[in-house]
Amino acid sequence: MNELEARVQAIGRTLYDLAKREHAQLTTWNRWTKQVLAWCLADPALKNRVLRFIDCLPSLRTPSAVVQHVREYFPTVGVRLPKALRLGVSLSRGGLLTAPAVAAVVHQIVEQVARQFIAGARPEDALAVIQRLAPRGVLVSCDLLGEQVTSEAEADEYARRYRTFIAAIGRGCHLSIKPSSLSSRFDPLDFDGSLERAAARLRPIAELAVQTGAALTLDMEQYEYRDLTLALAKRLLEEPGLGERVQLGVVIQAYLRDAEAVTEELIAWLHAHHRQLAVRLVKGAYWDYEIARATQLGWPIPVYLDKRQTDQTFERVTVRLLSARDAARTEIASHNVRSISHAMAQMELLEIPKEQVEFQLLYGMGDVIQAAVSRLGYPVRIYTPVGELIPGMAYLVRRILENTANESFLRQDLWEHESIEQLLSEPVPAHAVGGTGPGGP
Amino acid sequence: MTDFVNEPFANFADRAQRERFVNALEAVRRTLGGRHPLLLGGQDVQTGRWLRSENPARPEQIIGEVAQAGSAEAARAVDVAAKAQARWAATPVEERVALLRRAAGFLRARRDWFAALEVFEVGKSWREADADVVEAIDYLNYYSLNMLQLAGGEPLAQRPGEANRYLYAPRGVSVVIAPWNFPLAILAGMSSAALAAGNPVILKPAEQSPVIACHFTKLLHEAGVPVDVAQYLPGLGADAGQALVAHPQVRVILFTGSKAVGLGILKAASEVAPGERFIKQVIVEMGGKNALIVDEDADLDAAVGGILTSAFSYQGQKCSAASRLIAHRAVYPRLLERLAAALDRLVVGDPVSPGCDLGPLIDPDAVKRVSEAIVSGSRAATLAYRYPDSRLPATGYFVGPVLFTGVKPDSPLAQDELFGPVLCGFQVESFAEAIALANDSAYGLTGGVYSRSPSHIQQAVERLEVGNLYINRPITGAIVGRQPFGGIKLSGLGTKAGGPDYLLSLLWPKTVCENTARHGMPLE
Repeated sequence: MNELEARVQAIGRTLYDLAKREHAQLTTWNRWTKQVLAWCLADPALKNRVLRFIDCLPSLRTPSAVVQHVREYFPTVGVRLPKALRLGVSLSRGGLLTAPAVAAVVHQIVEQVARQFIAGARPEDALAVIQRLAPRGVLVSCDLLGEQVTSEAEADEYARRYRTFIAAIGRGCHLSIKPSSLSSRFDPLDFDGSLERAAARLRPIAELAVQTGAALTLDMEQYEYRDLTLALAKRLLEEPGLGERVQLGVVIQAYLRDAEAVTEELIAWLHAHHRQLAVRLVKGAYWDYEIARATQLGWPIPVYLDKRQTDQTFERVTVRLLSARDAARTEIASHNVRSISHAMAQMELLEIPKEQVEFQLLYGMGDVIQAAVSRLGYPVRIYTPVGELIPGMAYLVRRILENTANESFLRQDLWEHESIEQLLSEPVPAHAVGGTGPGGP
Repeated sequence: MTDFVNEPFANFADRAQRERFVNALEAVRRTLGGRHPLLLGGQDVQTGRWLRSENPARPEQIIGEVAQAGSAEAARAVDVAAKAQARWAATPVEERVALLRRAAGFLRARRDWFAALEVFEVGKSWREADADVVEAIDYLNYYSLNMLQLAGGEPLAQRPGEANRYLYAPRGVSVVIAPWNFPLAILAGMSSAALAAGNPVILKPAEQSPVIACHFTKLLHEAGVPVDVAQYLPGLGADAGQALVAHPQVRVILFTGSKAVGLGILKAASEVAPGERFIKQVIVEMGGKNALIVDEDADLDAAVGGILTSAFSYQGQKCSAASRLIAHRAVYPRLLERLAAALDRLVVGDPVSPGCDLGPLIDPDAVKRVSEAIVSGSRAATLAYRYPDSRLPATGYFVGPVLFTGVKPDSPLAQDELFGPVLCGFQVESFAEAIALANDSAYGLTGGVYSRSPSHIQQAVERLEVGNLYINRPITGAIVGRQPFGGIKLSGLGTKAGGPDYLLSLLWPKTVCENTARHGMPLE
């Protein structure tokens, strides 16, 4: 084992022990979240129904519509729905219990799950989270959930929300901007036009951010928007008077096969233009979508199929970013203990002061890891979605999926089954060890 | 045999692809304005009359002029084809389809050029034009592979001393009467099917898109399809078209276009002329008045996008386009409000520019027809959105998108196919009412539902009278081999373009039963 790998293992074990100790004191999930995750874990078919039902729920306007959908999505009595609900549905059928009562139970469940992962709808809710975490030295990054923008009026409204939020939070506000929310005509086919329209709405937001001392991150969405999004960041950085003052960040998705090449290109650009960016490194959240879309259109699949290749790329990009600190401030956004330990080990090796890198975790999901990372003296930022239930549904469904996915760290039941060796093992893609796993290039 | 694989769509998120397309537009621009004779049995034939194809976005820009065939040239083409028929039918299937697959390869190599030509000749946006070329390539490959599968016939039950065979034989001279709205895909689809089946074809393109058809015919020749097996015969429907349909030596007519013309062809083709020894086989694909239902539990983000694509892509000039929007009252006001705002974001203009979402209508007749319908509709119904005329280009055949509400279900606006960017909104009280209203049409081509109720989706599957039903997605853009396309009711006869049994319409099934027993000899 080389020196780096030895450090990764050592740090990983420390994190593991710290987390284990924290876990004894922290109740991570609220009651219904625990229950919903348990259903999803118990039965993949039921998980599918639960996710689809949750996705649909906010559109149900009447109690009878809720009851009707519960019956349709969960037709068999064998399904282990909560007793209150099961009973409610059958009683409401016989007229013994009113539909409003059943609908109320359903809404209560889903709202509680949503509250686990979404801070609330108003800027005040975000402020409350910021104030709650501040004493622990934990920072917050906010994401405004919203409906898909289908008209320029809706894009104006979204831009107004961003500005209102920045003004309300004030100094230290850290906000994610969805590029597709900046224009309803955000289409790479009309690259220059889309860039122009998005930049026109982003500019006043960025100016306000500079005035109030806020930082912005351009979120990364579908692969099709990737180049456009990076071009938008560059456009902003080139604005005279604004580009050198704005605190701007972009995202690199490690599941993309060209993630390393894009990182390289971005760093070169930053060097050439004497600009700096925060770079949030994530694994990527549109995996299924990217595979379906590319396959339907006949395009090469842009993401790795083998998760270990993603993990490996994550580590490589980590190193690349850490060694380009004059251009990029690294933000490691992962819940994976191995990925986190690897970044820390690299920092030690490169003698990078702890405060120069940030570890980012998702609101409602990372309390245990967050405490452990903080304990080791690294800055932690919590990615916190703010928004109403309807636009929050897609986000919520993604979080549930993540927490019930096979390879999920949280799913691996860290504290009981998974061995620490497995958790911390170096990501080696199947083909690299002679196998023919599903993730070939 | 290899499995069929769809041709990939162009990825315009890729800078290199965008640059290739810009270059192709420039290359096409330099070739505009040429003259194209008829291509009859290896002869370039001029007629002294020229059909002019113009750019509907810039009518002063001539795409090309093509010789206009009349009944004499039609007869000559049929004569040539009839003479070529036996030889083409006797060409082994493997050889025939190898030529078609070669043509697919040529088209692939020049796909941006062909797509760019569509932008000029029929006013398609980049993506729409690309999709049309992709579909053409798909048809060439799909029917080729399909024909290879059919070549051996179907297995039959056998008994000792009796050999039964079920074979497919070509029908004979085929006439392809193609529309302008998918000027390459439908032309290539109908002709490649006929050719794969062993039938010589006469390609009669629409008057509005004859230049691209000329290039396609030449491409077939380049790939090795004999010049007498694929002939190019542009002309007017009333003249060359009618002559072809009535000709006693024509065995198959493949038509895609309007209901009026399609029904006329069916009638004319059923007349057996003196000396005619076959009943003509007719494939007609006609229009639609397609409905999209939005249920009370629908995902409105998805619905708004899906409606925009379904009703307004290519300015609504698709037989699959949605022209009726039927929404539950719980979502109707919000949906219409968002839809109107979304329509206003669209940019109508010359589709050469990537910044334009909608291009022109095909010709002045279309502008007149749609404009008049909007005027009379405005009296009978409520105009919920109309794209401002001030934002339309000064020249060119442009009509901006229009949204009506309060349309009477039995009015012409609700019943007649308009083939333009006009959508009628209907509010209903229940899903059952939505289905009933959707079915209240003479047409039955495509239909769609945005719903998240499994039981409502099931109802739609069982009850909607359409050939192609789309659930929670746009109702246009059928893909060869994945969504075979064709309607019922007055939309068509039930054939499915890009489907597994399309070729059967172009073949005669022949049963052969041979007594293999000989007296006193052992059975084989």
